[in-house]
Amino acid sequence: MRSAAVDPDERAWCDGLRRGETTAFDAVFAAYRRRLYGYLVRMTRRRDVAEDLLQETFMRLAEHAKQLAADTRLSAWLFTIAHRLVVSWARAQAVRAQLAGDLPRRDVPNSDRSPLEALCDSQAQLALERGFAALPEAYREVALLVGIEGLQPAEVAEILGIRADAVRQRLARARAQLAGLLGEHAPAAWRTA
Amino acid sequence: MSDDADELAQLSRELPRIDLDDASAQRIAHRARVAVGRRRSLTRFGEPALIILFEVSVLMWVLVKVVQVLR
Repeated sequence: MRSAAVDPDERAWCDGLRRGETTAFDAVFAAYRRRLYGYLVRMTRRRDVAEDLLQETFMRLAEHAKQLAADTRLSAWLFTIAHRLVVSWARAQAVRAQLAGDLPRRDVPNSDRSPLEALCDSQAQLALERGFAALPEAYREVALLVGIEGLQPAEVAEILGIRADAVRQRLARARAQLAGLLGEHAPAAWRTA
Repeated sequence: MSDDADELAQLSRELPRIDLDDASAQRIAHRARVAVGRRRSLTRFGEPALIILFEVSVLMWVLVKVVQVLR
């Protein structure tokens, strides 16, 4: 998670964290809490789990503060930790489901809105939120990191531990699936393509 | 960025913004802030280990009971 092109703010925060300054931690928390929380909610689809994983992400930052390199890109570092926590949580969920005898899932589709969907104030927004939620996890993650977080495919490749080509491929597939899922709510250019 | 990335970025701007409530954010910040620069405490190692031990024990007990019933 190191690069020559580090944002000056991030460099200053890194220096502060390495010195154990809590003001630097507060600045990082304020800058990234919403971005990380949004990513975690949309990946786990649960606010309570997202809150736990957000706390764990920042605990890891606090505990590793003194070992950070001066040129650490904090955004990539934090999203890497968040991604690993999501993967661990999903694995634990899968094991629990298997141990429970493959009982039918509780979250069968229904007409009620999830707490996340309740935030939507238009049909188009609701369709979009549901479209993202319906994407396979691997495509959703890439779409969120590139689309919402504005990270470069190379950075996302580093975070996920895959090749940049694979990120671009997943991105193209996410876009194609999303176009199908959005139907009439898809951008006009997607419908004619 | 590629066309796909640009288009997804444009579309994503329509998504509602999600944020934590202030009380939860302050709680999380406070817990992590006190750990800045400190090594991972024994409690943070010990707690998950105890939970795993407990869960494995319960599962083993359930398995033994199931086997007993099936015999």
